[in-house]
Amino acid sequence: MYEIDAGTLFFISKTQEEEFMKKGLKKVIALFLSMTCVMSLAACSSGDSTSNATKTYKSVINIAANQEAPSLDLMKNTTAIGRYICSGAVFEKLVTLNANSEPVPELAESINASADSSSYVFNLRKGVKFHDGTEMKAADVVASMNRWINGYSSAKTLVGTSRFEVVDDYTVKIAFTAPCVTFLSVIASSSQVAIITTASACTNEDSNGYLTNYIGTGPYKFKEWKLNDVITLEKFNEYVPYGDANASTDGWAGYKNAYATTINFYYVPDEATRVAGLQTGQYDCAFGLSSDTYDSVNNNSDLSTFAEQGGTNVLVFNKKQGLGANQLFRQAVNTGINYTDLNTVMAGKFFELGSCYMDNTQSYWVTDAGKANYNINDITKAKALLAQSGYNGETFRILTSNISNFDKLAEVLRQELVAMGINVTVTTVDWATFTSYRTDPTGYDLYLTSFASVSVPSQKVYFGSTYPGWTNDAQLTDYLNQFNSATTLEQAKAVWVKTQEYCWQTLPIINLGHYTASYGYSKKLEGSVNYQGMYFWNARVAE
Amino acid sequence: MGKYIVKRIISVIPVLFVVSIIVFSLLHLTPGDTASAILGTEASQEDINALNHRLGLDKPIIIQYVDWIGNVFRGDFGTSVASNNEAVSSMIATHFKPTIELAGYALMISVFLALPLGMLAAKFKGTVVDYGVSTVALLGISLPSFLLGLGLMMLFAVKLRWFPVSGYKPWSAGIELHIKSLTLPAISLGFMYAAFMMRITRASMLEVLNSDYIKMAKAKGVKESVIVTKHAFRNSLITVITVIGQSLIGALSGAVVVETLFGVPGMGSLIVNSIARRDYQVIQAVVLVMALLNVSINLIVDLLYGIVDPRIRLE
Repeated sequence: MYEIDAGTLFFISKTQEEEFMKKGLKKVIALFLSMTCVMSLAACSSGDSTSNATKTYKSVINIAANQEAPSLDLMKNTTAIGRYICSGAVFEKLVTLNANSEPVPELAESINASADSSSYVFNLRKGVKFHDGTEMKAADVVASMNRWINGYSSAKTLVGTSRFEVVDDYTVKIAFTAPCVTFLSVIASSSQVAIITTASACTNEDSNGYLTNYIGTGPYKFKEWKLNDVITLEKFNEYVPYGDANASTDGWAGYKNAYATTINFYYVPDEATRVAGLQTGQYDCAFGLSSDTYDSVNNNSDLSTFAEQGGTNVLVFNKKQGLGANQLFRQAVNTGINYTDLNTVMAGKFFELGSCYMDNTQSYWVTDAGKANYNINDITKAKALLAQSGYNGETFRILTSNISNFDKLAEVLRQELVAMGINVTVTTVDWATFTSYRTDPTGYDLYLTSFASVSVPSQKVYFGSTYPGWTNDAQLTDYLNQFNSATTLEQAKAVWVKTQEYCWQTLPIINLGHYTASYGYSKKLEGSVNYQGMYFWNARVAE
Repeated sequence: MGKYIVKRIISVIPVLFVVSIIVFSLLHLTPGDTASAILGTEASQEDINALNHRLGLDKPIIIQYVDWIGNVFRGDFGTSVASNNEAVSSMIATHFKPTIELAGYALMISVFLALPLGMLAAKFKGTVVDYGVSTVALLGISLPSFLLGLGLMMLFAVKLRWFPVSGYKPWSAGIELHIKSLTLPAISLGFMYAAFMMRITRASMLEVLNSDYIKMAKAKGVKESVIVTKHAFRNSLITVITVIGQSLIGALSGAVVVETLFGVPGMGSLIVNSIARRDYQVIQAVVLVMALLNVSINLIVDLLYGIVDPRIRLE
């Protein structure tokens, strides 16, 4: 048996309140009285504030988000913005990730794992309060974790028929029929987050199957959602911080304290507007900067930027039928294309070349296995492989969407493939249409997309035989089974190295490289957790 | 008059019915997957299929239409499948308010700019005033609203800091904040309609000013200002009212770009987001409401004709 203890971190602050836009009334009235005759009204905005001896802080943090989630039920919705808003701040997990992408306890006080990782006992922290005022007990954890497993295909595949059980009020356990060494990592971080809510909330679902009430244990509680406008979180006064307040941050782990009273996540779809709002101080942070605006933010003395690998840009072959099912053809494509050009047209300078399927935010799993087949860019060799594949002038059909410059990527790819002697057509559609079209194996040979970071390699959805692209390779399946049943992380890593090596030979997908997710923020913003996104549970904004 | 209004209202029903069939058919014939949009990019195909089944989106389209229209007749527009499961009627109510305020504000700016300037241009035809107004009108018609909006944003929000960059503040947040949050979007939207109205007002005024009864009034020695404001302007109002009505319809349904640029959570952004998410219930309801508004505004315009010009009798 081994045991994992919680890590901690430290912050000190007082809070204060401020409203935006309280000056310039006279200018406004002067300008518009003459034009519209309605500007004679005035109102005052106010903000009370507190200060400490050295610095005063605003009570409200305003974030400009570039997306809006369909739901904040993180257990079932995979939209990244939902995680940025609620994961860690509203909802917490049994375990979370530290900066080395290792799982460490969060709502669990400690975890006892069997020697072969085939069972886990979670000892829960006592006195943890939900936002509805009730105390977190084992029944809530079991209901939440089992709801998460039942609603998340990757988790179901991993655990099989095993489910969480109550041991006593503050202890839960799960036992598997085989070792499951990556289980804690999956709980700590996945696209469908293993959040803990109340047992009653778990049974109160809307017609989509999403949670109706967002009741977590985090330092902020959900207050209001005005669709297409703003999601507001407010400080949860009964939150009991845990861990060492003097320790520094460690990934998502450690001491939490809500320093602001309110966090507003405004939905601002236009990038120019987000950046303008950042420049004026209306927003303290803006998500989704592109290479077009990154420099202007970075060169502003009042602003700062944060960028990290956010996932991978991927070419997914249709391996069920057509040209994509021919491995030699896939190798010809991979040999002839220029990875740098393809990434550049998509992301400007916001990418990093690298053969690893995993991003460097999951450093443990990073390997360059198979790199000999990465970015070869040898057209002569590609043409030879094409001839070997039996290619006879058939049309190679590329499917893409018009978001995130995928249409431009498709055009450059088309030109490169034409130069290799391949007849190519490109179909560009909107995202919703794209997600529909890619389920039809008769409609395309290759589609272009990106995949966000995952905590363990086996969570890559394109390895699945039912996921569009239909990777159905006996050897790969065997590797993934070995990975899932490994008894130690070292053993799992060794299997993963072999798996990636194999994938670069057989090319179920082509991993072009890593895209960079970038954010701009005011230098007055302190304490944000910049790890696999930007998070604000410890954030505050100086006056 | 009363009989006329009742007839017009009854005639709306088949219009809306046809609109509902067209919208429903177009939407459901358009490829796209609601469940994928809801669950996100990383969702597995099993989860996507399960949600489509749960939402009834795997049923035959006829059955889906009958289910939907039956609920609409009972006053139930359903719930949004892609936006936090909110009731569609509530979403429309919430999003309609900023749009009607923005459209009203934009129209007010348009009217207050366009009518005096259009009259002046007609009065001083061929002079610097006329050329100046025509140039402004040409600029307004040619300049895309997003470009004007960006320019206004950079000058008045970023440089001068007189207005917020984006966002909508309701009345309850304070009248100053409310008006400030809508001013730049309203100017961006209203300038285009103002330009159009200016041209129409000028042309209409010129036509009236050249008519015989105006010449007669001049011959009788009626003051120039009275001729322009009382006789010429009132008689040119029929055309102007038509343009104002059309502008209001355009502003209500066509503020998508401006709403997106300035982050105003109105009907435009609602329908754009709903289309992207294939949120059928919302799109269908919004289009129905817009069709109803269109018909209603046209009816109001027709009724105004009779008030402005008593010679017109509606039957």
